[in-house]
Amino acid sequence: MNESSRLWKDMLGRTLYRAVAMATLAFVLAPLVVVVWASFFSNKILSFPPQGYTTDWFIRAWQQDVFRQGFLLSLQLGVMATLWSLLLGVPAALALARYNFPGREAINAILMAPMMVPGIVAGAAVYIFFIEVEIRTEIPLVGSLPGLSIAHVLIGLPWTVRLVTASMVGVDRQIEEAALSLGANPLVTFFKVTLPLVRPGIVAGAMFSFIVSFIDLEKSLFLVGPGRVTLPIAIVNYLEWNLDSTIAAVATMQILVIAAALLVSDRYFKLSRSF
Amino acid sequence: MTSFVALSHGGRSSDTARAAPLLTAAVLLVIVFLFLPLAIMFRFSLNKFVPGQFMVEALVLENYQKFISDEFYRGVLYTTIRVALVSTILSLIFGFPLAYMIARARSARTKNILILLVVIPLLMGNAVRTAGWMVLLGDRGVVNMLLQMVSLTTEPIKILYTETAVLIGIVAVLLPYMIITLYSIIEGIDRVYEEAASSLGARPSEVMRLVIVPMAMPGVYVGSAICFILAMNAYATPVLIGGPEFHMMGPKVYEQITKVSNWPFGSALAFVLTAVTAVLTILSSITVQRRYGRM
Amino acid sequence: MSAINFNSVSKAYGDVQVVKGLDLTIHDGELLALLGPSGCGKTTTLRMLAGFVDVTSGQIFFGERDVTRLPSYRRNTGMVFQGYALFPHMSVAQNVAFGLERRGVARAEVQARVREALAMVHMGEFGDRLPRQLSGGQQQRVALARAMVIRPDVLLLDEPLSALDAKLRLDVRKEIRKLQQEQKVTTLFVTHDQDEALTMADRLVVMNRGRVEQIGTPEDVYESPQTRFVADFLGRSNFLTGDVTEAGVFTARDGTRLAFRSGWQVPNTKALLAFRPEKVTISPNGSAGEAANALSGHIVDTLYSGSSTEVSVRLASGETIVVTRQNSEARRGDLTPGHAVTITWPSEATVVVSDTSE
Repeated sequence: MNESSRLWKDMLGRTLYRAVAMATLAFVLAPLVVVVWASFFSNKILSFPPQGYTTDWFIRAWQQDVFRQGFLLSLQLGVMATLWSLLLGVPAALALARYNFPGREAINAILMAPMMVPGIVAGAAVYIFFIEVEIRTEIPLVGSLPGLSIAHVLIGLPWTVRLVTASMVGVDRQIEEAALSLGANPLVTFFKVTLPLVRPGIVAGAMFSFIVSFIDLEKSLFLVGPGRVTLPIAIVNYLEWNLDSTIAAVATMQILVIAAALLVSDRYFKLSRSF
Repeated sequence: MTSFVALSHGGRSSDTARAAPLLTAAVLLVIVFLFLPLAIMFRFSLNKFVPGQFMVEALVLENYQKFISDEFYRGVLYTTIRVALVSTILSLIFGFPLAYMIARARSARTKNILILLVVIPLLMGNAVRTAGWMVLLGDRGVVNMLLQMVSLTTEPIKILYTETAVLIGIVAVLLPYMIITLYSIIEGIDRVYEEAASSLGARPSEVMRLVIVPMAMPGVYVGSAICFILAMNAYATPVLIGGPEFHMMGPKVYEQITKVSNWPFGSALAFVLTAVTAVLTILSSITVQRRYGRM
Repeated sequence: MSAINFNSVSKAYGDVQVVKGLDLTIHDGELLALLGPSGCGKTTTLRMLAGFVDVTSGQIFFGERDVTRLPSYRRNTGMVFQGYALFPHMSVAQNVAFGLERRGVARAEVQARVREALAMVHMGEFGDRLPRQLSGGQQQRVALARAMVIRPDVLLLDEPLSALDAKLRLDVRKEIRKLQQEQKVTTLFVTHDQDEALTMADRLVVMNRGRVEQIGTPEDVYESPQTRFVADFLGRSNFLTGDVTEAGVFTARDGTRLAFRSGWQVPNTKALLAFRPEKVTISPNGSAGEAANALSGHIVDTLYSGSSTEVSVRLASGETIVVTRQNSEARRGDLTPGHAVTITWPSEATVVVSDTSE
């Protein structure tokens, strides 16, 4: 083989590598782009290419109780999961990052477990547990707001603990000690010194808690009830029987909510730098 | 940095006293609402299911035996393993070039944009992405439209509700995890190794095969393990893209527990799924580590 | 083996010119050292030769072969990297065999040549080890074997000693030089350490701001610097401003006529006279004797540094001259600050340099 044909082959290889990389990126993005695109089609029956564009599908989607209520429920659960994860997770992260005690690794593993146990297995277990509790106490949990809330706090908690711990490890304890030595009491020190320093971690934890709660499928699947169905499950249930621009519009609404969460948190921490 | 020095010397009692109240609520939540339910479910998997009577207290391996002897459920497990394996391998093959491209992006700006483009689909959720795939792969979908436009076919090809479609959907779910894991490892490989190989006469493909890939092996097996576990437990993709005729373990667990209300068998399915996933993941990582050494 | 030629090579990153019109020849079998402060373009020059950096304009030749547009893997260069860059997942022998295998050398020959190369650097026993099981010095030798075993057209050494501790560095210096001479391999050596460059190189190139300041044998460049930058960067130098009034005669600011050996010979121009501190002798005022060049002044400061003492002498013109005196001369008493002295130095050790900083 002569030199120029060899170089040509290498150039072909490089082009192929770039093509595969770009195709993979397109592949990952394709379903999102297509679903947003399809939500604006004016066709009565969803088909390609579109005959025209309209925003009617969003109005129709909103008029369907299951989607409107699902949207509001998911929003409510997401906010609840975020607040409770912060309330429980930030102190836990503080303890894990600051103190050294026997069994620290084990406690960390316990707190990460909700992220590790597959959703479908955990969902099944929580469902069985809730029904057993219902039978014994007659408190309805499956299909109730408290039941769903507990599951969603569990979904968000490990993310909050993990991201806040990571940001606290980066903070020098001496900075806090400096504040204490300057006469600030521990509470003032926490709010004036520690909290601002770990704010990016807290914002990241809050954002991830909200998103993983909002998009959760497997755990919620077991716990939703009549009149109380989260948005992703409403989408999945609908998709089992229908495929039209209404569902594309609903999916686009979910995309918009998450995009909004990303934009709000973008001021405080950079998503792309947390990987 | 006193706190970090102390970490390596076992606990301090004052630390324990301070940490305990901060941790109690969170740890209790996980134990009561995850570990306890898992324990109860495991216990139930040893009960008997008597039609009409729901569940009868017992201590038998009946449900596990039923799983092993039932050809249908064995088939479901094989399908699940096959789909998980193939989709993991495909994500590895297709994820690697993009992960490499991101890790070696010239400017930080390009790198950040690429990372965001890979991660955002992950954050949008499976329900949305599955809807997207159904729009893409359906009889009147984008793919069939394109095929007909270039006259490769006149009648729409059935793509949705096939194993191929499920693989496509699952690979799309796995790719972001694989790419981010590989990217973080490749980023840590100094470019000087590529230069060294190149100056010794290695062509770009050889640099990739002989230097980058072997040095990225830790990322390859961490990424593969994550993807394999996710694929084994897939739910939305097999149900919606696979259709009613396509069976994987995740949907079967849901079906047995909520629709059939056979808790003992559903619980057994859940634990078989967990155990098989764990065993295969551990076995493969041992094999890979033996072959490539710990790095 | 072949000579390496740079034919007015330039490199620019956007508007920033890193290397400007470089013309350079590395003769067959010689060790050429590229010396200069960081950012002078020496590393870019080496990386252009290796093929890691594209050339903006100009050509690079290996003998008759124009390699300017060839990728690094088609150039046949052997490179020793600053951190060695041994492949961590390959054994020592696999590292050394890597280049031979890429060239399709038969397996038996690969083994023989790897063994030979490892023996050459006294690492014959270590073929099965992994790089992380070796000390820094051992890794360095493996890197050298790996680069030389492919019989490269040019061996490139990128600060290969900087990661070693000071004592080891002296031994490795000698070893590299010996191997390079035995194998007669054309070598480009990039360093910011002037001792390394002076002791190892056949010729050295001093670079500054992307340009070659001077090329020559170490002695040549050290004894006859052509520019202020070279005189100052390589060793230390005293400078006096004045005029060249006639051929070989420099008139200092106070009117003293000083003789010099080489440099600018155009009369009646502003000029800069340079001479080394270690060439200067201090004597009590008035006892200049027969020395060609003499100036008087008074001591302002002394700095004792073990084997020598550095004395600063302020001249009547206000300029300060540094004198390095070996402490073997047992006359330390004369050096009290304020003491009037005469400094003398030979004309052979005096040159006129151009002032490139202006």
